[in-house]
Amino acid sequence: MQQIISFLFKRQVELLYLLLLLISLMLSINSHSYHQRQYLNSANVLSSSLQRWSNEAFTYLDLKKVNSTLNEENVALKNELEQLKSSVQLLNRAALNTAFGESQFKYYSAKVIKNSISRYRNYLTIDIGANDKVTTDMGVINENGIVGVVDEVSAKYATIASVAHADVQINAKLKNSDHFGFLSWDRVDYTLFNLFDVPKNASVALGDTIVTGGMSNIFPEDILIGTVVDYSIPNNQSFYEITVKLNNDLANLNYVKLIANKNKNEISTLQSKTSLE
Amino acid sequence: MITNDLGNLALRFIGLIFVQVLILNNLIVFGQYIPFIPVLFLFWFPMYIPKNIMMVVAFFLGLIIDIFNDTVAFHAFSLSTIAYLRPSILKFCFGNNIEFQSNHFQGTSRAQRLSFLFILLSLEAFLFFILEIFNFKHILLIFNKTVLTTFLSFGVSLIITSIIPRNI
Repeated sequence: MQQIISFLFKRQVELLYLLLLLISLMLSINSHSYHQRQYLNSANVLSSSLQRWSNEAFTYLDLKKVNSTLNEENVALKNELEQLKSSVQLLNRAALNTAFGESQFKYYSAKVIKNSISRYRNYLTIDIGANDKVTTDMGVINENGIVGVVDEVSAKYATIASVAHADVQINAKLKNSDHFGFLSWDRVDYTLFNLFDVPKNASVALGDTIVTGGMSNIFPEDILIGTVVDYSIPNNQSFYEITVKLNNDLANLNYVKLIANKNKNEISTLQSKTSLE
Repeated sequence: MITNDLGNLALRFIGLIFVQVLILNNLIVFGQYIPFIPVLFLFWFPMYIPKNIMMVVAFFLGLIIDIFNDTVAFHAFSLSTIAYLRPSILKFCFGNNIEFQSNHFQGTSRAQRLSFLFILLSLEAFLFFILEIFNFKHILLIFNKTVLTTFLSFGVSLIITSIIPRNI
């Protein structure tokens, strides 16, 4: 017994190091399945209030730019409104008494208080949380296209796994031909993404627009992702490898919109039932 | 003298967290490299404080920065590992006699101090990216990120160490 105690005493530095190593490795390895980060994320009170404070100071400097983007969006929305008005008039004229049901998607606005683009798994933190009906796996977009997917939610804050996150995959399609595939980040440059699984018979050209595919029940269909900058068909393969340049500037995010899909639970229950049988 | 040292050390602990979180995390070079400087704490850490205390303090410094950065425990891992290896690195850079000195910067040349700093920074970046990427298929990406981050951190550290006096 005495020997064990004296051994422990002699080796205390090594043992302490092993203990610290074990703690940090356990925390880190758990995080690699990326839904398990429960406690140590920036959605906690101390960290998010400091980030919020610093963000408020810095966004003040950006107001001019924010104003101009808001203006642009306003103009675009007004144009869309006018188009819709005219189409409603057309419908009325045709005496088609269509009852517009409640829409499937609902949008929430949020402010980004922390953003990263330089890491292998990039996250954003926003200033709304469970109190404002945010739940995990909601899609996140802004006026330039997709941003990411909600990851963790606390009462007043939430973190978002950015599209530039090594584990995030998004259902995407070619806008002009509806052939779909999966979009994932190329892991180095936050503006470049890879689109996989588009079949060989689709016609792809440089500059083609890529939009969300609407098969994932996270994003609605036809939200802008980016444009094709390079493509090839590897030997003996029946799928394209397409490089997409993201339209959105992930380094410059201020306000984002969260998308809640009201029918998500219904769809996923149905799908899980189908795959069981 | 010693209480003065400890106050100084506590100030640097808090200062490093603020500088890393509020300033350096926004300093993104080429769209993907951020300088890491928390390891400067181990560069300054006095010799007479026992090694196990140094390891625990380094671990918590890393963990606090991790919480702000959403990096789980990557900094905590790299900083506690470097704290564990620090005596060997000190001997490598300053020679065997360093063990008997109370101040590890006394009577050393600038080249020795800079190589000590460089080794600490490159080790921190390397350990951090190994754990962050955690995939040996991307070993080249790990090296690429380590090399560029090290040089970037080295530049920033030179500025910081020239502003703050080194003798604790």
